[in-house]
Amino acid sequence: MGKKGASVMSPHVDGFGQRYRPLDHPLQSRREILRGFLTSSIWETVKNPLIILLLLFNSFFILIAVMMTYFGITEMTWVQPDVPVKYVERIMTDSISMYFIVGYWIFILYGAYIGPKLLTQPMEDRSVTLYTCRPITKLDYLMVRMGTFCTFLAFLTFLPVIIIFGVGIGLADIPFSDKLSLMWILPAGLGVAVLVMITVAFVSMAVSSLTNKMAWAVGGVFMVFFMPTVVGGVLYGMTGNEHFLAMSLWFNVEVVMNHLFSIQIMTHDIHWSLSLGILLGVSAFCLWITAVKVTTTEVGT
Amino acid sequence: MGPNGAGKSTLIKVLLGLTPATSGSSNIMGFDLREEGHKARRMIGFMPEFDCLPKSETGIQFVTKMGRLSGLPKEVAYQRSHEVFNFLKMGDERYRKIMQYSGGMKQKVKLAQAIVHDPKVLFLDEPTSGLDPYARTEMLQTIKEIATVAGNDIVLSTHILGDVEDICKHVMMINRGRLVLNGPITDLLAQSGYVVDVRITEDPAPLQKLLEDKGLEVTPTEEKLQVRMESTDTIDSIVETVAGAGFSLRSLIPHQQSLDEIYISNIKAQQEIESQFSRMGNQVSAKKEKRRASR
Repeated sequence: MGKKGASVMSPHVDGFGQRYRPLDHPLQSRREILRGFLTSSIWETVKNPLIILLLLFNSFFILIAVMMTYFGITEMTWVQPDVPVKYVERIMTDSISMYFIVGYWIFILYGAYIGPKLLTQPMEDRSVTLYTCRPITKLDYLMVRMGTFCTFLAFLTFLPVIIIFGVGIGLADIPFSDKLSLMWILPAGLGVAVLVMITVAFVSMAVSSLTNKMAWAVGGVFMVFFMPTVVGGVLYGMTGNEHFLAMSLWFNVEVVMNHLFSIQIMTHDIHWSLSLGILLGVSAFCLWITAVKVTTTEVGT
Repeated sequence: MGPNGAGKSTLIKVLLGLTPATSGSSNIMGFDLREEGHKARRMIGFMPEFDCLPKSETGIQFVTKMGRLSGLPKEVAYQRSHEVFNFLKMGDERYRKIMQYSGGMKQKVKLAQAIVHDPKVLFLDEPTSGLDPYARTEMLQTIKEIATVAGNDIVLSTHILGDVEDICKHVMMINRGRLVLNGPITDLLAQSGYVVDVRITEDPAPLQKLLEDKGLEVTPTEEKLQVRMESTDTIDSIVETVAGAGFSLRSLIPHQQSLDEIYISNIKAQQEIESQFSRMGNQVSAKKEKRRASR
């Protein structure tokens, strides 16, 4: 499709100045339209140069996490032929949690770019009017935009979990029954992936729906993710009340993740169910705000 | 048609289901827009007045995307977009980014995205706004051709009356959200009859009063008075009044009332009615206040 800077008349311009021709092709169903819209929306997001750059950066961390698993297990097998299953389990869970700890900040970068790009930009250039005067509802429009972001984030959260799990299980020289006992790591890892995905996607989209200025949306997403972490940390430092730490979304993801992976490194008493409740509550609230804003905002003014 | 702020664009947005109606109901081709807006929009194309094109996409990319969103399969949407650009006489510019387009090209892209799926009903909101005379004529010819070749219904929203006279068959005039006039353009012009433009060297206000006292319908426009011609006696009556009052007549031109004049007289009539109602309302409120005060 891209024929940038074409100076010679392209073959498509052969019928230049032709008369108007009525369309002789039936229109697709709404479901097919939405499928096509989702595909093109994902494709437009992925082929963006900045996203490609971030993906490369992200791949580097996926590679490190996979290498951690690979070398951790193969080295241990070399030193000690009968690897304890607990050791394999620890390596796999550590690799996954390491990926999410480091990757979370990259996910926020995605959130600050993709969220506003998908929702705020069409409002800023007012092309949202032309999208919503098609045979789709405003809710369909939002679902496609949300679906685009979630599909993209799912790829970056689910895939590394599956790869790390596959590498760990595949390389560990342990009996089959022990391998079966490690199966819980996959759903636990995917659970964390879902949590990261909905938190980043829903919060970014909610902030993006509140303004029609790209700069405000980008800044707003950063503020929503970083400010509570900073403020919570400062308040905790001043008062010693651990509950202030739960203001940070990322802190809560870490609490739930450590609980799922049975990692005992935290020095506080925040219960995982409180953190999970906060994350799900914030995500649901953000989803509601986005839905209300997108469906009730008058377009084309 | 209607003046700025009359509610033309709002009406279109209500008919597209983009803005909820505060009261009443709306349907297009049998589809209730509140319940089945998305179904109705399969058969609707919309060209907005305002700038609403994404700057970073090329014309062909954007129109193809809109074609797909309107229900065309990928390849068909691409082919159809080229057909539409060819029809609109837009050459290799279609491969350039929209941010590099002139105002005229942007209007063409807006029209292209509206007709890419060959809608049965096409809403055009001020399509000639900001165009030079050549581009305006070209745009009007294009619109005419879409209507004649495909037989599609076109709703043109404008305050440029020349556009209406050039291409429309039916006129609806609205002002402040209310329907002022509705009918085929030929009927309106036929019913409108003849008027006489009267110009005098003096201030026309006293003459207006004298003519109205004689039972004539007078509309002041700029520096002249426009008198509705009831019969050939009207001219005699005007001449007598002007001579009798000692005014110096500059010109007396009888002609058929144009759409501009119908438009102005109807808008003025509505404004007068509204101001009368407003005065009556104020008087009633004042009386009520007096009664309250006297109690």
